[in-house]
Amino acid sequence: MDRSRPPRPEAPAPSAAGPIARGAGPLPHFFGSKIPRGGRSEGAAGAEPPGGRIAAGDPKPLLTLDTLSVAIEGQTLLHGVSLRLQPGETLALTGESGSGKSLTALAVMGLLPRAATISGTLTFDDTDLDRIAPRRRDLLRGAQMAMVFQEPMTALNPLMTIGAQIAEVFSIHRRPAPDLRALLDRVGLDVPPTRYPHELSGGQRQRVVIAIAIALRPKLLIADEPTTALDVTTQAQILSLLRDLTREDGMALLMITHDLAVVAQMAQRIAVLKDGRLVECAATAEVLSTPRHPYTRELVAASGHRARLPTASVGEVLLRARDVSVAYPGRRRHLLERPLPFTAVQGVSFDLRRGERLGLVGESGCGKSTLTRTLLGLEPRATGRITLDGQAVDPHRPDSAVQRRIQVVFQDPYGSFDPRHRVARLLAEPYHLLGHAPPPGAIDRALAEVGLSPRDARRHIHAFSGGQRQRLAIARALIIRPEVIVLDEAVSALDVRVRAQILDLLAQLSQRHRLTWIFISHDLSVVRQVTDRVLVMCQGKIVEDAPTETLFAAPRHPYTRALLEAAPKLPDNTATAGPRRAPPA
Amino acid sequence: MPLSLLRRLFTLALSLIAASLAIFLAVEVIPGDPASTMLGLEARPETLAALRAELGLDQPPVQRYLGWVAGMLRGDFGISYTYRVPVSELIADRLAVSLPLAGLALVLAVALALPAGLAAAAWRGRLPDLAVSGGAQLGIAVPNFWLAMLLVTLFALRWRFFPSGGFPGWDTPLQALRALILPAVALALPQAAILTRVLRSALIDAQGEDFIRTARAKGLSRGQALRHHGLRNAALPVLTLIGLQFSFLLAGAIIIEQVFYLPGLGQLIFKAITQRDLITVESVTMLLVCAVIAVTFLTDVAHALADPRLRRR
Repeated sequence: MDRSRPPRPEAPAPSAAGPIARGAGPLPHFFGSKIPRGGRSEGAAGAEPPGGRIAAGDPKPLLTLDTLSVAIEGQTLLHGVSLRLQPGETLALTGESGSGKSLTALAVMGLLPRAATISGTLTFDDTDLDRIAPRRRDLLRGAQMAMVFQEPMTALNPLMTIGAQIAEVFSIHRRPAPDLRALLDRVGLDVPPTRYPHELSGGQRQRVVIAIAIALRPKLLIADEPTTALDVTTQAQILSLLRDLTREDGMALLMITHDLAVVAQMAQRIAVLKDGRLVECAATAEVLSTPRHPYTRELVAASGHRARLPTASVGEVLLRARDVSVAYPGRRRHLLERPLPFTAVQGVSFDLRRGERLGLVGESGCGKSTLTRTLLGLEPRATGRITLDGQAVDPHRPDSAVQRRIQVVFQDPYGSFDPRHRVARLLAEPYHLLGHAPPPGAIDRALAEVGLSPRDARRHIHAFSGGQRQRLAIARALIIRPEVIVLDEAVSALDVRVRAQILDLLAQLSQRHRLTWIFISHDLSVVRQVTDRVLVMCQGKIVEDAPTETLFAAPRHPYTRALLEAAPKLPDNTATAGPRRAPPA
Repeated sequence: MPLSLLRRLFTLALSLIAASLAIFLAVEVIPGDPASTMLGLEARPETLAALRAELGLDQPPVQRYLGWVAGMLRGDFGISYTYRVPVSELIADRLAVSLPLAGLALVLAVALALPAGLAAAAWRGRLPDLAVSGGAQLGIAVPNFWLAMLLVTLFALRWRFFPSGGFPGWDTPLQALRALILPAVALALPQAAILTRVLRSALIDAQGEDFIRTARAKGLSRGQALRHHGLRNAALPVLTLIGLQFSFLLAGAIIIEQVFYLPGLGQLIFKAITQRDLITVESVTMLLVCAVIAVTFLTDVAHALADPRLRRR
């Protein structure tokens, strides 16, 4: 590994906005023990990094990052981050995408890409990690420090059984072969170790990854967005498993997550990163109730943000689905056996009225996407009847007169635009359904409506951020004034602050145009903000159909109840007001 | 597994039938009459007719096709028009050269490509990678007949390690093997170059996979993770390529056979075409099709064995 060591500055440079440290964790040394726990150190914050320094008399930290910087190909991505983690403590590292959270974790693990250069010191269990031989550094991993990753679907070698992959940790570290059954039981996985990863669900695979990580009872576990790719009920199970394991083994947990509601459940302290700088580090409850740094305030406010949706004025039935089913042919298991079809959507009926904003929630594989495709007339296997304003939606006879009444915004703001075309052409796409070019000024007006400038019409899509792209997608969907908009996980890929902005934009547009939409999401808190009525889908069926507030206040179906219970929530005293409000004194 | 195997065998049979039809029809529409080619332009019409009857050329095409297929199923490929010996004997003689040659070349190619690809991927962008990638580039660019002549000049003419050409037959196995070494090297080097490049890029792709990071988080070094986890995953595209290369080596060695005076399959089919020995052309082509289909099938089976995701109940 290439590592350069530029001379360390005497005092770490404070971040531009002025980092904020508080004494809830280990105290900055010059406060000694005179400041009570929870006391503020704001006055001196400019001179001290939020992570604090080691003070005499503190319990010896397990992990210390001292002005850690990481640069890749000349670009500094992490600027002098100082952090400490006590044995057995859970510290959450939070921030938006690109803030350097994962980079910090990889630096601790010694898994940075070869092109990375690091400066500053990393001390783990009294060992300076930069000064030990590469082989010893390798062997610390797995035995003393371990890591769980974000994407369980790809984290395991597809060609090896899960048992072999768990056993490998033992052979690498020359330990006797383990009792695989006991290990799998410990992570709550009741499948035989002879299974291959592709035979397991995402949640099960994440349990395997956790089993590998905790197998040798490391002192430090790093979990990098361990539940972001999982369903909400699975997320609740994995989080509780991580809590139990850290408690039982006295493991320190460095938990990386963008989701403050998850942090609230898990961590004793939060460290907030912004653009590679640590801006705040304090006890969880404090950061959530009285965030100090302006950025943290924005982040916390955005996490608890609620878009103000105008009251719906509901009219006649616009979209009607009656007994809609979609079945796929199954796999033949035996030559003489009839293959069993897989029913993705089963007898779904509902009405959507003009001006109504309908939510569709459910976990992955529940049939949300198939139903969405069916409503858009893109699912040739669908049976049943769908009408839009009285006209039939028929995938076998696509009718532009019907298609122009329904438009869609997809989840991925990066994949849903042709990169070769300019914005003006991208936004004009729906006009082919009308058979004429956009009238003069239509593109400019559409851009202005979503808060972009008419100048943007001449740019290509790569010049826009994720949030801006999603604004463009909304502009494209609205430009021909469809009757219904389908928003398919439209804010799921966005950072929390951008998400709040997009939800506000939707609320505004709804106010202005009396929009009718179907909002599909796995995220209940988002659905709650922008819908009047919610359909809960489970295994292809709609199990509950209720007004949004009724559903959240008094869910009737056990599945809905399970979903609501599993969803992580911010504590009640979270500073959810706008970022401008001054923190309470 | 048995069901998917059965299905695959069924498509295999279908493609064989399709191939045999295509070959038969292609030979059928080629202008020129084998009988007149054999007897020359001055032949008398009666002699010509007699020969055509003897060769079965006067029968209707459907009957000839069925007869040809039925014969092949019995192992009877007919009598060569020019050599006047059973085609199956001709093929067996030539296969005794071509099959070991292709096998040897393939083994050599893999033996060269494996360490080279691993080294290039492990030291990506550094000296070993630059050397291997440069060598591979050269190996792909240099035509193999030129390489063959170079090998003959150096190893056969100057240093006399190996014979410069010809094949003594398998009665003297050691001599036969020595005769095959230089042609095998000439065939193997370009194939090894292609294989190296594919293996290198497959390994580099594999290095970026999440499971390699998981493996390293367990305590493996970069190199160990690459060998224990990357190589097996990178082997899948390489396996496909090896299958394709074997088919090519079996039939595509014509030029190398010319350079080394080897009586191989390539030479046989080349001469048969120039002499309008249609029955031999048909049979050898069909044999090659069978070989390609069989190798593809074996590649599929090997894939299923290597990748549990392809193994379905």
